[in-house]
Amino acid sequence: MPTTRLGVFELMVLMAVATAPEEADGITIRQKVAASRGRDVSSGAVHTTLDRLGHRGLVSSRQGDATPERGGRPRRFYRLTALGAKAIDINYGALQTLAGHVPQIFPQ
Amino acid sequence: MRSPPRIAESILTLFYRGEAGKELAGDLEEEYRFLAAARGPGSARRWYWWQAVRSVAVRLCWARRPRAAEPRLGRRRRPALGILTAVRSLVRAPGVTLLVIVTLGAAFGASISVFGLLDRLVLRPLPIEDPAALVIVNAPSPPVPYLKTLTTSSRAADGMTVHGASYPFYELLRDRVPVFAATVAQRRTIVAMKTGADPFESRGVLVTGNYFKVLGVGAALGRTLTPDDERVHEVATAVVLSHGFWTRHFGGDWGILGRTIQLNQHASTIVGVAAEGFVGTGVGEAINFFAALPAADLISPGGPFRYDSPQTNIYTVMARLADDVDVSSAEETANAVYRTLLAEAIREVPGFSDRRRFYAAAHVTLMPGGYASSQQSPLSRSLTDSLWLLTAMVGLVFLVAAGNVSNLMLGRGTARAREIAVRKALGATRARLLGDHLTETAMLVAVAAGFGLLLAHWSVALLPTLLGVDVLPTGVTSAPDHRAWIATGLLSVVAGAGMWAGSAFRITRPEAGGVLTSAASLSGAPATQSWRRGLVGTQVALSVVLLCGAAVLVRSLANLTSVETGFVADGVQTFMVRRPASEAPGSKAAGVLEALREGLAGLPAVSAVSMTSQLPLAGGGSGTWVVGDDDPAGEPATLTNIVVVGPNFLSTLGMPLLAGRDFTTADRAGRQTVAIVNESLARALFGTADAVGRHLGYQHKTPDMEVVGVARDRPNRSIRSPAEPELYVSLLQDPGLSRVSFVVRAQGTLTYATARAALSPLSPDWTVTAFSSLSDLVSDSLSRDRMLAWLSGAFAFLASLLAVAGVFGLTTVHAQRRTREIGVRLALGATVASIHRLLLREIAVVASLGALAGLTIFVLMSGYLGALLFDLSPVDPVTLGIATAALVGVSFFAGTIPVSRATRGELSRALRVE
Repeated sequence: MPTTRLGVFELMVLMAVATAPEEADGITIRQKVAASRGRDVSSGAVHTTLDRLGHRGLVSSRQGDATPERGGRPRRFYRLTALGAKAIDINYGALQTLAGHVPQIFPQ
Repeated sequence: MRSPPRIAESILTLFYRGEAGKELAGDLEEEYRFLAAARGPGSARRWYWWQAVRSVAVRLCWARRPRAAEPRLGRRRRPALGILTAVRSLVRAPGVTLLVIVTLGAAFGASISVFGLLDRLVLRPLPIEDPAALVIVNAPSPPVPYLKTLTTSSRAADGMTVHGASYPFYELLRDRVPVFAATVAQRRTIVAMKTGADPFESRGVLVTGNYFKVLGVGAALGRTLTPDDERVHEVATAVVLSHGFWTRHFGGDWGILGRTIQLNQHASTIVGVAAEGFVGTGVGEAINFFAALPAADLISPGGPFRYDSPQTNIYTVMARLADDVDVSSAEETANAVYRTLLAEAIREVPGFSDRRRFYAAAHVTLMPGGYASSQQSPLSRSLTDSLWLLTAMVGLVFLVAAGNVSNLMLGRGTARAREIAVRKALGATRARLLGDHLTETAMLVAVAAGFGLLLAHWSVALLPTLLGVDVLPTGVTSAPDHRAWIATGLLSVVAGAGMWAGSAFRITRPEAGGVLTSAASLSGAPATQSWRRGLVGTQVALSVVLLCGAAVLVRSLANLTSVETGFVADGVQTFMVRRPASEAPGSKAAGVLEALREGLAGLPAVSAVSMTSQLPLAGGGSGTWVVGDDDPAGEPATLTNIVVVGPNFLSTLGMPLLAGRDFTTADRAGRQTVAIVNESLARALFGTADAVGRHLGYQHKTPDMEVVGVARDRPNRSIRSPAEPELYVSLLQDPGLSRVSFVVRAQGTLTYATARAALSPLSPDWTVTAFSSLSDLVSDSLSRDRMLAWLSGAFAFLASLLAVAGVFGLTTVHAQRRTREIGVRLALGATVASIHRLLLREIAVVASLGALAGLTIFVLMSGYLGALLFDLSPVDPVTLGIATAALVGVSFFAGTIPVSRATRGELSRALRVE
């Protein structure tokens, strides 16, 4: 299933959505991705990726209310879909296999 | 600062459209507000900008992947991606890119600077309403009954005769020429202005009351002049200041209105300040004030005439043409009216027949009056030709530079032939390759133009040195303004299109695909090579044109500087004093001058002092008819330049006397009137240089002046002009001058304070100005020639450098292409010398054909240069020969470097080259 192949950045964004209590907004996701990446990330990258994940059916979203502190623009909340959860699961296997090799490179 | 930076936000929404854009901007704004509260607005703004830039970069770099659901083949690339491709390909070859930017940038910089000057001094419309409809009415004023000298006229630098008009003539033109919607008269004047303790010289324009209304110039403060101001008020004359003078002298004081200042000791009230940038209809003059015309009678220094006297032809008449009247038909109408006026004058003026021949040829010319080039400002007149010449020169430099850039791109194109071939194999169309190349060229040109604008900005500081002045004339600069920006834009488009067309089709031509299979045409097909040879040959030709031009200009300057001036300028200081209008000319004024001369002579550092009506080489001077004692009838007379000088004038300036003596303090009023003549005048009047003891006089007067000395001939008006007949008369016997230049031979510098201190006790209302050293004045008189020589030299050097670089590049490619062939030849026993000959033949042909073409072009165009040269033919064979040989020689030398590199290499390496 080609749609479940995820890049590392896509995976980070997807994980950020998945680990939110219920649903997550753009700011939360951006901050989580930045935290897991260890350095700042541009909002444009996050939104482009979310857009892409949305098109692939890995996340769903709904539009929230517009607030004055956002300059009157609406907020959008993202939530993991079943397909998204499955994609994480598939990629988790691959990551685990990869992670298993790390001790060989950096032996204690 | 509650909201995020608007510019960053706009850029962001430009790249992120629709809902996604709104969400993104909303997120960023929310975070921005949080950050602004937590870390301060500056930090938040920086963060926002960083976010915006990176988000845009993401948008540009991550091409949206085709979705599986809707595969789109052959879709259009977004233009942003094309730009990115161009940037990548430019950055990949930083050396070439940098070279192109520097080369082209220098050419851009030179072009922009010269354009800046040309525009300000020649092309630009004046800051007035509808400048195209404003004309200068140029015609000899019709004769009047009681006048012998009917017209005054002067010859402009371009050979055009400019006539002054009398006030009655202005009124006739105003009332009787129907195609003139409005007519104004004006004249420049210099007065002693007094706003504080000491009076100073101040330039102004005396105008008719309708002047500002007709020109459509408003007031920055207060009001402009109106026809009401023409009425002479007992109280005070209304004066409008120029904006520049108001800011310079009064610090832009808003409370200036109603203040009274003295113009030649006549009280005048400031009623307004003219609109910013308006300094009359000339260019480069520091005009300080405007006053309505009858004021001329009140403030003119010692003018024995009324402003509306028919005898004084001193006005410039300008007219605004009526709507939908073009200049040529207006000129026709004006000439018809003029002929009627002349016919009336013939009926009324007795003795008109004397002048009939002169007036038979007289006619009205309407010259454009609304542009910087209008024939009114001495600066425009003297520099127009030079500036057009420089424009032509930078144009050539630009062409050479553009040729070089085309050549570099061709070279790079052939180096990238493989890449292009691969792209073609992958299905890129030729249109796309051409488009990519266009993007690259456009970016290069844009960056180079930007660099050029920077260079032009920086080079403004060099301008005074180049023009040979301490301070630039008002409004004269080469700093790029909006007009220069527009011109730069146009030039960029034209140059970019040219360079693109000159290289794009060669690089992308269909057979370029062959490169994939064969290494033989690694460095371009023969067709491209001959195209490059043509480019380089053209560069050599254009550089030869420039070099020849520069060479004759430099030699002409050398001729000028080696001219014997006939006086010793070193160590002589000069300044000017001006008699106030209130003091009558006569013995009292002469007494003040003589007392000042003696006062200065008493100073310890001063070794000699004298005074003169006319500094040497300062131009001007009056032409007067003089007769000798042989011709009591007064015929034939000699047109002579009269110079009124003080005692010891010749000795102070170190001017040698051939016979007789210098003037002394004894040559004063009441004694025998005396004269010193130069050789030319002596020969013209007496047929011999031995004239001491003979007598001469002005035409129609008894020749009663005794010649006491004969001075050696020297160029008197300017270094360029040959010696003209010249007559020195004693200032103490002819004290009518309103201004006199002092010449002081002294150690150290004479200051204003010294001169003022010596003058004030004698008469406090005299003004002291124009301090300079005489050698500076001599050097200034050559400033135009020096500027031309320097700039043309610099341009020629730049072009030659580029042409030589072109030759170098051509040979390098050529040698590389034939490395294998060279290897084979060497292996088969050819000598290195024979290989050299083989390769150098190409450079020799290209360089000499180019040089020949360049020489031909130069000879054909040389007519334009003739007027600017001194004592040198523009087609001087030695000069042209040296210039051409130098360029050909250097090109040849540049060509040998890559050739010897190619033949020096290892034989095996040469054979293995792929």
